[in-house]
Amino acid sequence: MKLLRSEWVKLITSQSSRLLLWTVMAVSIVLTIVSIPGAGPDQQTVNNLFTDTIYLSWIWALVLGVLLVTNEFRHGTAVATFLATPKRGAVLVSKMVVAGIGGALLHGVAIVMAFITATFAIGAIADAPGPEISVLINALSGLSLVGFGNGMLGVAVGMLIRNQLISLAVLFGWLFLGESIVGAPLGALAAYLPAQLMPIAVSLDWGAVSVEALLAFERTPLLALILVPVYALVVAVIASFTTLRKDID
Amino acid sequence: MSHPVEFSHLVKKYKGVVAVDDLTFQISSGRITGFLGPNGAGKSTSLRCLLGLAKPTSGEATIFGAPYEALKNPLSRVGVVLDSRGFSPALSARNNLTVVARASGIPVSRIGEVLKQTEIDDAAHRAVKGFSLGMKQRLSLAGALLGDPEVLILDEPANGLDPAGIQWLREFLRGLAAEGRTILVSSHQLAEMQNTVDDVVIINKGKLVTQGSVAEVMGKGTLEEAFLALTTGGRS
Repeated sequence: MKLLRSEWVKLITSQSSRLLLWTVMAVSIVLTIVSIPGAGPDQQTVNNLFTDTIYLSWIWALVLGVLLVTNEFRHGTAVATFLATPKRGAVLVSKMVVAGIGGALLHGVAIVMAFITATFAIGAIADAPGPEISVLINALSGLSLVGFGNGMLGVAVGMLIRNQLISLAVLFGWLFLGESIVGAPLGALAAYLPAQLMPIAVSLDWGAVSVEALLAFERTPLLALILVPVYALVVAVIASFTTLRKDID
Repeated sequence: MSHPVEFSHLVKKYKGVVAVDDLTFQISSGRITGFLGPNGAGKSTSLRCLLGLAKPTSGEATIFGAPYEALKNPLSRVGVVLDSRGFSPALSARNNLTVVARASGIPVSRIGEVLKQTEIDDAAHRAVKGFSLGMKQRLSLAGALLGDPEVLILDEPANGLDPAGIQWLREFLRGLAAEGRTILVSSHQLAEMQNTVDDVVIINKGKLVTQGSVAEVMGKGTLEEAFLALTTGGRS
């Protein structure tokens, strides 16, 4: 617990976390404002106005996770961290848990900012209905749960690579370009790679959750929400057998 | 006399380059030991192996008879100053120490005490990025003392200190030793070391050159003369 508390203090007191929080809020507001012209009086476009931000906001927790680790190597605080807790695996696990919680909260902030902005905007649209509550709940919970898995994945990638810029470049290079190249020969299996899963995961619909579909390994949001943390664990295991065993500078 | 810190046939290589070569020595309890050597002699690498930050190629370095990573609550037994980095620049001195205290299970009430002890309590709430090198060194010392440890490992703690700061550090270390703490301190400031330490260990090119009390190593000259004679064959 003491390690979790320490990592939490690092997360909430770091300048980069605060900067990221302001960025997330600003982007979420801007994305919602940009969607206003498309919002008509019908229910679907109103719902979209409230939730469109989810299709970009899934990246934030990845950034948060990477920063939580790589800031330590960038500023040299990794030495103090591993002197206080020489068991390196424990540090990795703690950072993953804290980044998971922080990522979920950050994504929660993103969608709440979109809700607030959309609420103001909807008042200016004549005869527009209010958003469906179930849609808001789905968006809030889906994006937050994706934040948990993505925060963990960001930490794992950051620990594997250590360098901040390279970690971010590799992570987003993989998600937006590399995966489509590597995944091409995999055929149907490519649909289960992280970049394909994340946009699906944010589209969680509790009303459509099906255990049968999950057991059949159908590419549903619930399966995507489960697989992203699994990818994070796989990368973390690779890191723990490679870079985590290297000397700390 | 017990030996809380021991190096036993420690070897550390980096891509075939030998940084530490079969280093064996012990330091005695309750004394200040100067760890001296020219630039690149392997002092920092040896200390990093001792503290579990670098993995020895062979041999071992132990604290209280065990590898550092085997110690429970290590910062409560061993205080460390490695360099003036290691602090989040945007955080205040107090918040930086809070992170360390939380991770180590040390009461946060200790933070005020060590900031006062190292005489930077006035700057407790200032961001570290505005600190001078000397203030960062004092903050590093404060961090090392957080757990009220029995052993202190200090790598170049006088770096960045002005003459008054160096004098303060000397008295500070003597005061810590008087409390019965064991201190291993590496430094280039030989004249200062002569006035501060009880024992010296001198290494060169990763190998042990000599070890003994300051008086034994100096003979009738100064520590600097002895150091140069041992590490450069007498050139000055």
